[in-house]
Amino acid sequence: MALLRVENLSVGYKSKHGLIHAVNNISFSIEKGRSLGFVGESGCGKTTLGMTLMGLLPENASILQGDIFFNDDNLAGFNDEKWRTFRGKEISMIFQAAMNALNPVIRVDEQIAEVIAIHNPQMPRTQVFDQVKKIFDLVEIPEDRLRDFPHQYSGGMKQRAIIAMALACAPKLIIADEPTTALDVIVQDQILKEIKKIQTALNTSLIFISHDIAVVADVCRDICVMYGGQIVEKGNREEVFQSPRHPYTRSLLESFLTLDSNGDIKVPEIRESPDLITITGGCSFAASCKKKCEKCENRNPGWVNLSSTHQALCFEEVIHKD
Amino acid sequence: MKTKKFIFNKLIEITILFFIILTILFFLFRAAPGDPITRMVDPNLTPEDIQHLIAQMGLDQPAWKQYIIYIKNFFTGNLGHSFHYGAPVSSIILNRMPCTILLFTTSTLLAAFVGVFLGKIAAWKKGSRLDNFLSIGALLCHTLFIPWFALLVLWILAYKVGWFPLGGIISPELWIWDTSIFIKVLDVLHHMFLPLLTLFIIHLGSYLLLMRSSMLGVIKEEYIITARAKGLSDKVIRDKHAARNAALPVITSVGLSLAFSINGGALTEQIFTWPGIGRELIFAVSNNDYPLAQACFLLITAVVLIANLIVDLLYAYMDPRIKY
Repeated sequence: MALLRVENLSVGYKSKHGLIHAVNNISFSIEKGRSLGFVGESGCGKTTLGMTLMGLLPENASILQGDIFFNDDNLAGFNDEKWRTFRGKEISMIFQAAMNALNPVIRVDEQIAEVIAIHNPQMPRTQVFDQVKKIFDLVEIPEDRLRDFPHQYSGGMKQRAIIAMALACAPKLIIADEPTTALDVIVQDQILKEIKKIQTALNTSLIFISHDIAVVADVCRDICVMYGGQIVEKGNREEVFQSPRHPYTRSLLESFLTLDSNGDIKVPEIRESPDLITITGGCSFAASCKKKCEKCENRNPGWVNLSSTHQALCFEEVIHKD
Repeated sequence: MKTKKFIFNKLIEITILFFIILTILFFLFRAAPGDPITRMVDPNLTPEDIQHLIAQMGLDQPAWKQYIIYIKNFFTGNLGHSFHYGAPVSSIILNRMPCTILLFTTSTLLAAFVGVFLGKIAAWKKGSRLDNFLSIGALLCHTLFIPWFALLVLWILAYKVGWFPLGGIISPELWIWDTSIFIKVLDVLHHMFLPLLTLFIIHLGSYLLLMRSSMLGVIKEEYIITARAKGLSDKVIRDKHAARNAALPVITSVGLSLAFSINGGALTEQIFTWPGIGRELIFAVSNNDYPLAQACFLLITAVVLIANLIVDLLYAYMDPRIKY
């Protein structure tokens, strides 16, 4: 049985201009010990999805429909109190360190001890801090830096500390939302290795959210490509990256800056983001799709099976038109 | 070691500033219109007597000579004699100082603690009925006209209802006999209540609003989401993660308002006839009592400068990112 099973999930934000459908009818599942990557441009709904799985949606957002099964619990029906005992223990999140995710006036070890203490109220203080030391060991932060404040850490160390925080209670699922986006490539590489190492060592499941395709391909075995609040293509990494079939995935892969034969930089076309307020019939990518046909504008595309693991949300004739 | 060096440098800076202000004050008073003699001298005195008095007070000397004498005396701890009281200025100040410190430290700290507490709650429940009530109440407190409010309090609670005395700091009849210390303390508290209430209400508003807006900024920080993601309870997130960061600007405000309370509270002291520095200051200025007025202003200068230093140090203690 899958650890996490999301079925027909839709999440909307109330706004002055109307309901924004940030996540639109998404279904996926993840097995124990597997890693699943979500990739897509800004505003495609990937962060909203992560926040929904943590029960951390802002006040103006709500789940419109669908279920989130985690083992036997349905998270979609959780109240505040249930979320409180659940968050940090069963599912935890790795935030982006550059965004001030650590409290500047509290010592790092205390910030990690806090998670352990809240979910293990019986555990004595000394044992909690022993646990913190072990986790620091795991993420390779030297022990003498335990009592430091966050501002005394480098960017990479802060990110390690945040990973340590997410691991503190040995959760079954870790959601990493752009954990390496603000780091330089060398530190990014170290952190990604760290995440992979820990994920295999602890056999936890991992959901990795990023706009950077290369990073997602490095960490995850299975990949979902998101566009306009929907998953438009899913499969394992070889399938999605070596033989992408959805027109959006293709244009996403082409959007790397490359040099042409004259040494000039090829700038990819800039498309408009889809309108998430007025959902009309038809494919959300139709307006920017190079291969669109008449059908695309009026009818909703369905899942096209490409292999037992590889699917795309499109029309047969579009996919096979080359 | 660095902190010690910082304090040392700061103290030098403070000393220099102090003497600059002292000099400015000295000449400012001499430039002000009016002279002390006409106020204090009996109209029946002969012109010779007046001349003699002026010479005695050193007012016949040119201003620069007076200044040198003043500085010389200052270093020997002699701030001069009050023209009006005839007593040494230092003893008058020392006499008034405790009353002012008692009243203003209590009211400022009380207002700060309550303001921080209510501001924190208001911000956490932003937009709720409680928040609206507290914010509007705080705005009203903040914009109150001090003398009007003080007189209103005095009129209702002391004059009409008669629960509290009309002014002063003690009831002399209680202090003549051998009353217990407990009764004496109670007596001072009884006299202190109305001025304390006035100052408390006036300060409360600004601290509440300051804490509320600071807290609203902190709530939007990423580390608050991190704290929620850990599964911490609302109360822990509010008090441990948000309020501690949000209270930092309030500390600055408390430090400075304590420093300025000496002159800022003059009106309150005047209305409640509280025998503090502020009342003495008003009296000294309106009577051209140069030595006394100067000493009062110097005291304010010293307190403001030192309070600034203390706020700096306190800030470093509260916020680990700041190190000197």
